[in-house]
Amino acid sequence: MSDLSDRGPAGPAGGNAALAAWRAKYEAELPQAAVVRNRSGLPIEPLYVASGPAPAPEVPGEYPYTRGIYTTMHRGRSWTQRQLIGLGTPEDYNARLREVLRHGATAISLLPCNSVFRGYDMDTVPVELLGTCGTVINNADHMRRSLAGMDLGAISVGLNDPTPFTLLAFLLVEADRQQVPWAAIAGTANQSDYLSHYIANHMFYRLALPGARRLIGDKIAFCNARAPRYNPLSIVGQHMQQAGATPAEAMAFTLSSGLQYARDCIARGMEPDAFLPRFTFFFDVSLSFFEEIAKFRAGRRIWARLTREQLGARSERSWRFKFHAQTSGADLTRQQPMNNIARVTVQAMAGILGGLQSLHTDAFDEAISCPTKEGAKIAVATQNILRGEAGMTDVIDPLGGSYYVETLTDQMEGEILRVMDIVESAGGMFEAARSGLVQRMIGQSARLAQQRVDSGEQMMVGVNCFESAAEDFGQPSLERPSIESMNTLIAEFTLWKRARSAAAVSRALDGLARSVDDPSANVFEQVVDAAAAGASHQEICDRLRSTMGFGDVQAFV
Amino acid sequence: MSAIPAPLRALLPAVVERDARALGRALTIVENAAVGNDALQAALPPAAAQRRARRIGITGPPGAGKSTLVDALLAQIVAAGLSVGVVAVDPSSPFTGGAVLGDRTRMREASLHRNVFIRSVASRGAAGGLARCVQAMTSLLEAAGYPIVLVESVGAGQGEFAIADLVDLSVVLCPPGLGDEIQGLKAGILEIADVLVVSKGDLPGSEVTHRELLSALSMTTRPKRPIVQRVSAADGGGMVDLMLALAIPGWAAPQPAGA
Amino acid sequence: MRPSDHAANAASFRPKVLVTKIGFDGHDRGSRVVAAALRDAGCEVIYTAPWQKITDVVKLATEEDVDVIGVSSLSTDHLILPRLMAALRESGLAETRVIVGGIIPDSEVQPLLDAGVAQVFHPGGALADISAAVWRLAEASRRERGLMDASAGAST
Repeated sequence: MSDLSDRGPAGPAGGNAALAAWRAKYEAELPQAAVVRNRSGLPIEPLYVASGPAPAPEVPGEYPYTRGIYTTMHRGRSWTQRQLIGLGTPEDYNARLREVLRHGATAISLLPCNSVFRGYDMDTVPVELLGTCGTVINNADHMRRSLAGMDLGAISVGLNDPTPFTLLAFLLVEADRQQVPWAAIAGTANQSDYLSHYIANHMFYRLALPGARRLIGDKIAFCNARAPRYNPLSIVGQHMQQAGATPAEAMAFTLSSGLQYARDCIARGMEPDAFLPRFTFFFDVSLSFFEEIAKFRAGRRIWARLTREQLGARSERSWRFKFHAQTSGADLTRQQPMNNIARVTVQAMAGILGGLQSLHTDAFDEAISCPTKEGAKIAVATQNILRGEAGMTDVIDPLGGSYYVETLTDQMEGEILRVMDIVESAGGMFEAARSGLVQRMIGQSARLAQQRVDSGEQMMVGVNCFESAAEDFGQPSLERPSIESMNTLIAEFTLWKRARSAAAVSRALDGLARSVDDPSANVFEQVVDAAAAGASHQEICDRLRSTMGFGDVQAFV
Repeated sequence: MSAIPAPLRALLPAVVERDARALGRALTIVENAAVGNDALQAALPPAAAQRRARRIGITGPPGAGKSTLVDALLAQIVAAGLSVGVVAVDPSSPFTGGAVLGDRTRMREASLHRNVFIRSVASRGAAGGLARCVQAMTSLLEAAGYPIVLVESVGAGQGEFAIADLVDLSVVLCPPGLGDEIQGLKAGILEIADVLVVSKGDLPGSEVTHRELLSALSMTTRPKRPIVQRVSAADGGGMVDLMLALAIPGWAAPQPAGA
Repeated sequence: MRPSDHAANAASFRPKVLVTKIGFDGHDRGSRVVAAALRDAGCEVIYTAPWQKITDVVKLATEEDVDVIGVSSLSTDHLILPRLMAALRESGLAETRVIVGGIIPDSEVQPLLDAGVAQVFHPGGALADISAAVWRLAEASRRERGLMDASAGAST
């Protein structure tokens, strides 16, 4: 029996005669209707109505920003179309980058090769694995070639750059070479959130927890002083939601991480208003359309209160919850992959209506492999259609005031705060992650979700219903860099290593190692110096791994 | 008394040369056929039959930190230039008969070292059969010239006593926080121990557990008291003392850096 | 399946299986599910963390004398399977069977089979099929290694 009881200021109410009559008819027609719940476990009614006196109208750009962090939102400035690209050699990347910009992307995102994510240089790994899912970048020269023709002072660069943030170091070295001041470099450090990696995406996890904690703090301090237009920290909810966390859990854990990072900065003597304006967030946006919109609205509200009331930030710029969203690959299917275009469209709409600042739309074949050119084009076109043809920028927070969305926002807020309390009781996010508490909670949610798919309770078209074997198993992309071009790159890299000053590199790496033991030193600054002296990506990672500890996560069945 | 299978006999010359592949195969044969230790000894080439390894058993409840400790011991051993064989026993599921042999996975660094040979074994239920299997495996590692053999098992039942008879020295792990349960610990487990290790020595409860163990032991009537050693694999505390207690031939405590 | 204990004769055995990931991908949820399923099907499973080097896989397979190596490959990591096959052959482990599960383009399946991979599984396949294949391949491997001959087993 569905529960139509009163709930909160905007919600189903019993006082109205017409409503009571509707309810009676509804229950007569559907006497045994099962309770519908959203992904976060909240019960969803068939109907929401006004209840109680209308609340005072909220507006965007005003604390607590439920309706949007800016006064003009997408009318004033559309969301950034930031598509993730990465493949092959630096030249391959540059070509794909120019193409994507021609087709409407407005910002750069750079995805390095998996070998880079694991901390290796190209000459220490099997050549077949190089550049298949990202671009090989092992030194500042590769960064130069990847971004050739781009005005570094003008375009926003998103780097997928886990600790120790060598890609940023290479970018800064290249900026120096071009005489672009670091103060002009704008961009965002994606994958800088080591907690999310430890919890839910081990491929990006490179240094042991204490070392990773030190390095992000050093980098935030460094960027604050020397590269103030670069967002040094993007706090990630995506991995956790992809690993099975419910939307409310993902938001809760992410906000708790934000709180942890903020406290760590304060402990270093930084003022909240100095670093909070450059904290950004990165979320998955799933097919649960209304739930995602409510999740983001609630997130904005909670973060504003946290920063102002708990952390004591005084500037509006500190209270604003800025986020990038990526359509959730976990909702996409291998089966009948073209259906994913419809899925991505709905996900993108949820993110836009949820008030995001920046969006990546997946290609339809992203569930199978690194996207094809065709898939990437459709993904960008989807955003253009939503903006230009469907009028998605015309109204700010158009679902604000909807009885359902306002009720759901309040309910999601309650659920998010409940989970945040659990983390707080466990000693904060660092301790909760180290002890495995967060991982266990996510695992539990993942199992429940899988059960719902296995039992058919959660439909997945093509997977557990409307199957069509003939159309199944779309082929993964076979766009691979040629082994020849990789071998050429490796040969050049080898020559480069021989030509540089081994003494300078050695001195710089020793300086890097020493800085780890000196609590007053800025380790990230030493990373930049090492990059400038000609140290390679792996050399920097190896030296830090040996002094700070290799990021190891236990295997268990 | 059973004769040893012909395929095993054929492998023995390579085993005593420490051919890893032959050793791996030989271990499989003794795992699946009831090979008696006397028969095995009799079949060895004379030079190998004289070899003796220091056999050390390590047991303790799940979660006590056995694999972490073994990993730390292995690191000490290889750092001294010695080689070592390990037999790691994991429990089989009584329902499906299968097993996940997870000890090796937890000995990450050590398992990659060229001087370390690790063989994982599932308990498969019957205690007597397991002990015979472990004995034969240990003999093979000994015959292959490993001067040290560690036998790691879960301190869960009868099997532990049988294994204790096979080794020269038994180490039993007590995780911190055992408290009153020390009294309830299967009396036998404490009795077989030559060395009682309080693991996770960096954690707060460990000192209490250390004292309680000493207290409990002061009341036993055993002629020889076990050594109680607090150890932290995390910070290395107590490791040198433990290594000395294990009396491994060829291992000496590292000298302090010259003045 | 009746558990066979260590007192039984040589004809009874349990597949000894290594479940591992080589290459760079770190997504191991699928491989953990397979490892658990194999255990539940009566196999003795050694499970590793991702990012194993090929040399380390060979060392493990040698010491543990595994019957079957199951490689989980998402991303493009299957591209180095031929290297694993060559390394196994060079180390005298040609009889060890290798299966791979993951996202592999149709056009790249045959080259894997040509390189000696015994079977390729795609995502969404039934776990029971994988378990059945492992039992079958393990038995074949043991026969080739001369470990299944009952008459060579110990008589009691």
